[in-house]
Amino acid sequence: MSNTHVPAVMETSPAVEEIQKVKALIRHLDALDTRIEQAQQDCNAMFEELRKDYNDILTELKHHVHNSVVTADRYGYDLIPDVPLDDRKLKNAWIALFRHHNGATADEIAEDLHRHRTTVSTYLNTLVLMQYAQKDRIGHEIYYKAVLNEKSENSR
Amino acid sequence: MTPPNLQEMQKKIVVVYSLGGGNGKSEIAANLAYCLAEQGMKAWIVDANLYAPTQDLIFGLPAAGASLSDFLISPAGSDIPYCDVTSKLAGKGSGRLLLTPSNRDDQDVRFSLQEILNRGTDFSHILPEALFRGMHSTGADILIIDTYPTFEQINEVWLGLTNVLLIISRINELDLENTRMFLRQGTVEDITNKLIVLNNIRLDKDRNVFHDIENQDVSERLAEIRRQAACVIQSDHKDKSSSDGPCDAVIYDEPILYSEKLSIFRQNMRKRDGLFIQKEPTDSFSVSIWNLAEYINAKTAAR
Repeated sequence: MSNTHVPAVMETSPAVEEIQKVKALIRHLDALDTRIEQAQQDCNAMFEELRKDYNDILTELKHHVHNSVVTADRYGYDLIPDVPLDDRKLKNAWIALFRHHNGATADEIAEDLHRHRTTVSTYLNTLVLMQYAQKDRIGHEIYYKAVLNEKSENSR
Repeated sequence: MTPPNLQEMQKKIVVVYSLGGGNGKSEIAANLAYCLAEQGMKAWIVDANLYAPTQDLIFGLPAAGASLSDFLISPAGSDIPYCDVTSKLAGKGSGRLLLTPSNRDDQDVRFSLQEILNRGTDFSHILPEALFRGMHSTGADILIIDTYPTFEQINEVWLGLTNVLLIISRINELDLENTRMFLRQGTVEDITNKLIVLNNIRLDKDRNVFHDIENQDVSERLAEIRRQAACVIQSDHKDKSSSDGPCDAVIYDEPILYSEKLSIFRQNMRKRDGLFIQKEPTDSFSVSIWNLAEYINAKTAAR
């Protein structure tokens, strides 16, 4: 008897039907998988596009914020938010920090304020503790950024 | 638990400073802390006079024990140590007195600390947090920092933290000139409340105490100094290009008066006999400090 011979009774048996169903479902899954992959690629492309737009606009915004602060300084306008810091020296340090929208080191702020680096570092670390600034270590440098939130801002 | 209000805490940090040694700075700081505690405050005094600490002697503490020096040598994960010296108070009020001494006797600690300070280690990243944490955990109403009279980097941290600076000066031209110079420093300019406290005292080379002038002549001399100092402070300010507001250094109305008894008492300081003000509360020196404490109490409470 040949090994490939399938008895007539098997061709219409429930087992064959099940196998056909399985094959059909696998084909369906493959198709869905392809569509999912395509959709993911489309999403990634769209996400990249959105992220690029976002970064472009953010860069432009930072540029204009910086320019507006510089221009306001030149024409005597005060665009610096009024944070409720009673201490004059801490407030001055915060304002100097706010002008560096990308963050600044203690050395940079010390140069702006014409103060000793350690003194300024004390001011900045006190501001961090008071949650008016945050600090991040990047390589060997510690960068400080002014924090402006509902808690720390007094609207003008 | 309510998070600590660090802005309020900062207003309670008082730094006691003088440009030269032997001005009675540590004596005033210790007795001031004592008075504030007697007035019901929880006063914490930190002996930041790292090279020539005296607070342990003034308070009559035994040698050794945890100190600010130990903290500065290995600050990671540790708190500034202190000891409770409330038992030194004469009254039975609710006040408390805490002291963080600096190391006096352990040569290894002193050498290690010297090496760290010589390296220019920046303490501005650790001291503010440690001090605020200490004030919060102890519930201190006031923190008095007794500094060392130099322009060392660590002093910039103490000065950067405070909003109330007591500059102790003797009643002579040299000290007043030094004080005028000191007031021109940027770090000092930034401090809102600067109080010049005149101390009618001087030390000889053996650290024996004398007075600069007779106590009865102090008022007259003070009026003269006030006129001179006010002129200098004002003209300094006019020279400045900044417009941060008026120079607000104030000469405290009442100089700290010399006392014969203080002279005798100081000769026995090595015996760790406790505070002068505790032994002689009605003496002229003690009365001056009581009044200064009331002024500081009002100054730190009102704002």
